[in-house]
Amino acid sequence: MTIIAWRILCIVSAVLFVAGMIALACLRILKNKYYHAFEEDELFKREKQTNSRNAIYFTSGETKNYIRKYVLCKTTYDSYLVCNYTKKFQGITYFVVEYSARKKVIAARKITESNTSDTSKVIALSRKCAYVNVLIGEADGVVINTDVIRPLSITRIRLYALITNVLVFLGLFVARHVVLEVIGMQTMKPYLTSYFNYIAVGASFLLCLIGYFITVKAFRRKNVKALNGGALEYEFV
Amino acid sequence: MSSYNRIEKFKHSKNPSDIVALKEYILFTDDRAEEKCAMFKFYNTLNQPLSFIKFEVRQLDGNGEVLESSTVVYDHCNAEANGYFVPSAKLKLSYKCVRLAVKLEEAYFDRVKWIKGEFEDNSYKFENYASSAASPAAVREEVRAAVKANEKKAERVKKKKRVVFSSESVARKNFAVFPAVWRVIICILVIAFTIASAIIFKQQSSVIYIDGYDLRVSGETAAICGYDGGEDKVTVPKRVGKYTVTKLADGAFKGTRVKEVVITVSDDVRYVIEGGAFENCSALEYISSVGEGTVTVLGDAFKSCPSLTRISLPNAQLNSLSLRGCEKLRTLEFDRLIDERKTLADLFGASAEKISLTRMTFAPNSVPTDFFKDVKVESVVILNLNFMEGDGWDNGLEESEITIGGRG
Repeated sequence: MTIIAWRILCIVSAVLFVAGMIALACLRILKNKYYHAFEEDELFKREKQTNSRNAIYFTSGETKNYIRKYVLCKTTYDSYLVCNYTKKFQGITYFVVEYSARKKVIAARKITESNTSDTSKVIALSRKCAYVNVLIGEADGVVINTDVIRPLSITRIRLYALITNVLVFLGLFVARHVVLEVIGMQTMKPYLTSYFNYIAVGASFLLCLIGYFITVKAFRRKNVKALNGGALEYEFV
Repeated sequence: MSSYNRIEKFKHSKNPSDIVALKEYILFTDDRAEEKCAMFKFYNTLNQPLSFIKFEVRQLDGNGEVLESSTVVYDHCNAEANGYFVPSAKLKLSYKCVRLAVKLEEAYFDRVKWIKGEFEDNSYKFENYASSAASPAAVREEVRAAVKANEKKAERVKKKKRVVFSSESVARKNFAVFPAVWRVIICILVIAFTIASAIIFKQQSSVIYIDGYDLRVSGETAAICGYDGGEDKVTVPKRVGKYTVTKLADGAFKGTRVKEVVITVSDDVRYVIEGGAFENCSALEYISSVGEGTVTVLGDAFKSCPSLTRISLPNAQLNSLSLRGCEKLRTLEFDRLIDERKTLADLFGASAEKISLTRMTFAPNSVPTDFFKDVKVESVVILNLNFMEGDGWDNGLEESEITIGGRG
């Protein structure tokens, strides 16, 4: 191949690399997916205080059997949440999913409290939080929800692995060519047609292929670990 | 200095959901001196450190009547978020006080103030916390030891209990470490291999690339072994870079799309066109040379050049089969054959009978019998004035077709 052809390949690879990076950033393949969509809770009342605005909401679904209502207190820069329990619990765990004004998830918190009173402790929320959904997890040994975040699907894992490793291959192609241009023009073209160059390209491809399988395996293992709460193996007695 | 002979601990359960809740208090009583003081144990329920607390204390007698009401301020508390704290300073009480009622009035946290049930924001201020708490009131050693013992016991109880309250973010970042490490390893390995192999290649290889020519250098001379320019007409210079071109090696213009090649030969150079130099140049139509240096054309130099019609190499010595495959050749100009015992057909090989030259110019010393056999030549010009005419050398030619040294 002529040096022009290699340069064209390099430019094409660079363009594809940039496009791929943009696509990867925009697609957000590994973005968290939640089991529950946003539900607008019933507003009980609003109160405006001197330095804060409070809104009391009723919970919904299974949660309302454990947490009756909650108050969102918004100050100039902060937001807080206090929940009103239906009774006193020995131990209660629930999830607070925070939403922005555009109803996009901005945070998810897991609250654990033991020996409760009728109300929870004050829970500090993100500054951008405009709404919350409270989802009961566990109450006095009764498990209702174990998590709010879905594990990654295998399709997404494979897609992510494919895109990242293709990008690595393209990036390496460009980087190698730039290195060769920097090292020296006079030997560059003969090098490009020598077996060294083809070995490097072949090795990049092979290593990226191995990287694909490693990525898929690592994420699947991570998924399993998350689902099992950290335990990958357990004995059946 | 007083010695407290009575120490009573009380649990305070009113307003447990206060932002800073009083959990316990201890009354230290010195009956002899009729003195009493109290220590408080609070719980900070907020996820921010607490720096200041102000609360109202009502001292109650045995009938529940209020003896005295006072406002207590603890500044520089340095209390941790979501944890117990015990201010070191004790509150002096009326001797008749039996119980206390406490109501929180203000609490200042890292980024928020709580004032009588309302939150205010002080995130523009960042409190500087002292590394140690404020100096306590002077107490006797045994009281101090008793207080410390109580604190240790409270800590042990706290450790025994599960965490009362925890708030953790579960919005995980989906990131696996090893694949990222693997990618870094790949990049380092490949780049390192590229640099190392390029350096080794540069040191070991004699082939360099200048101005579109691949050159195999040897000292100050170079042989052209490749060309990747896209031009139709190429003038091969006598020097490329700092090297004198002395050879067109095998594959120099192989497979290129050049139509016309002009070779510039240095005067004192013996130029060589190796076999395969112009192999498969399907578009090549004309090749010529300038300069006084001699040119040696080896066999198969112009192999499979179907469009080649004119060769003008006045200083070239041709070897057998050097024109094999040049079936459309019409004009041929060269010096002589390397082996002057060979015939013209030996230049073209098996396809000699297809050759039909309109003009042939050369300067041999002599030619063998039947030199022009099997090759049609319309006009021959012999430039060597000392040409020796052997027997039958011009068989196949008309006398009018031959010009020797300017004479017919």
